[in-house]
Amino acid sequence: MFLVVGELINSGRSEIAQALKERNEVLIRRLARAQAEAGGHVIDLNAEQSMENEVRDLQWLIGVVEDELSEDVRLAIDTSNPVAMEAGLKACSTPPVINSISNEKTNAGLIELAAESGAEVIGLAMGEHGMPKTADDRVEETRTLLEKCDRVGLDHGRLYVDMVCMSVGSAPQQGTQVLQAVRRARQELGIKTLTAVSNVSFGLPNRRLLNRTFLAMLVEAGLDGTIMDPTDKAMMDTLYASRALVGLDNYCLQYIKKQKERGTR
Amino acid sequence: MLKEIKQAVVDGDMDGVIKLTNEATSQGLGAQQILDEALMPAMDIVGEEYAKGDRYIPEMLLSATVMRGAVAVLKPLLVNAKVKARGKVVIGTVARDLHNIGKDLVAMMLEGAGFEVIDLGIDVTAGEFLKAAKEHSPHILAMSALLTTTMIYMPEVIDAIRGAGLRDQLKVIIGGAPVTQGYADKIGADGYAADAASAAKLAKSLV
Repeated sequence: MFLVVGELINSGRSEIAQALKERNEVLIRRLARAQAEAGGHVIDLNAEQSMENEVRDLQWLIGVVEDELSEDVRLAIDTSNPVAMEAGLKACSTPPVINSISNEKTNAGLIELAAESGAEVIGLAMGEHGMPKTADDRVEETRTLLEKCDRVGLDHGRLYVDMVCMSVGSAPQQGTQVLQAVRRARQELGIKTLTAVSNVSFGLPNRRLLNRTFLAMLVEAGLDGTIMDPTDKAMMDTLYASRALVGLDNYCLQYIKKQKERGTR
Repeated sequence: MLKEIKQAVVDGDMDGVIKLTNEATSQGLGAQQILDEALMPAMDIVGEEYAKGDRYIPEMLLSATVMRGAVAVLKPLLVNAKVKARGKVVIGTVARDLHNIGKDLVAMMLEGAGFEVIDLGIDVTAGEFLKAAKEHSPHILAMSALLTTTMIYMPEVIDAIRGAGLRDQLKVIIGGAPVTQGYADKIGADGYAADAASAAKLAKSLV
């Protein structure tokens, strides 16, 4: 299965920061439902920009979204703050995806929390030496992260390593480097990879076109999941089409089903 | 000729700009004049178009590279004529913040406006800003933050500068997505700019 993590409920977006301030339950419910119905398996919840109110806002988000969605849609707690992560884990009725651990020293406590929880964990291939530039950097950061996971008994099977996508608008080779890193992480380290695709298009026109084209390439390279906007229909269709084209969609059934739903033939 | 050089920078035409700049100098145009009347105005145009949304990041990067190409041609002349930079700027993205794009664009526009720019990179701590301020004695210290969780490190830097008795010797300017004029006033910065072009204008007004 390819893991689709819905990115829309993020306090970095002004609409969400506002909704958190105003306790706008209607908007949060609508976004949660829209992402789940559009094919998101996991709904990411981020209240990090609320600063000192992060814990309170995160608990509120969890309450609202759990109430709105059926149990087969899971949540991801998105924070680099171990205190907020712990509170978020406690507030969820089923173990949420942990987003994210990394080699950064400031959030070292998160790895222990991740080890204790039973759910999937997103790990960032960065932090030991700052931001990764090359595929080599990303593979090395992943190795370091895996060693840390081994020390606390975090099973690699639960891990999705984010290969840290950066904009080709300011560094044109970043696309290739991420694609190589995805391939190598799979072949050399045997782990699952994921990435927040939309970073690739920052500063460029028609970002959605770049995002979905890059997603198709990443699927071919062996990517296992993405953090994205599932309500972007063309992006989801590109995902289904790519998986069918590289033989990851048995008898192309998922692709066919989606096209029937959309009434396209 | 100056007009053509300016256009070549705006268009991102490296070969054209090198050829034209060489021609201009051999015809006796001064390096300072080419800088002031062709290259810097070109970057102003580029910066303004970017601020309006008519130009994208790669186009801006290309123009900046082309401008640097022209400056490299002029460098020996500028050194001979003892042309001084407009001022010195130490720039960086604050601690725990790894965003470089906005900061890089501002650095580029400042260079384009004739400043000597010392770029400390990303995740720059208050201690590192202070060290650079002592070492380089800049006219301006510029800070960027893209997150509300990291812009709180800006006042720490200002405190460190004040603590070292350097606050009166430099101007502090700040910017980044969550930063506002109100925040700049609150933490006692000397200026705020919303985009790279206005950052260059602001810097010019402060030296």
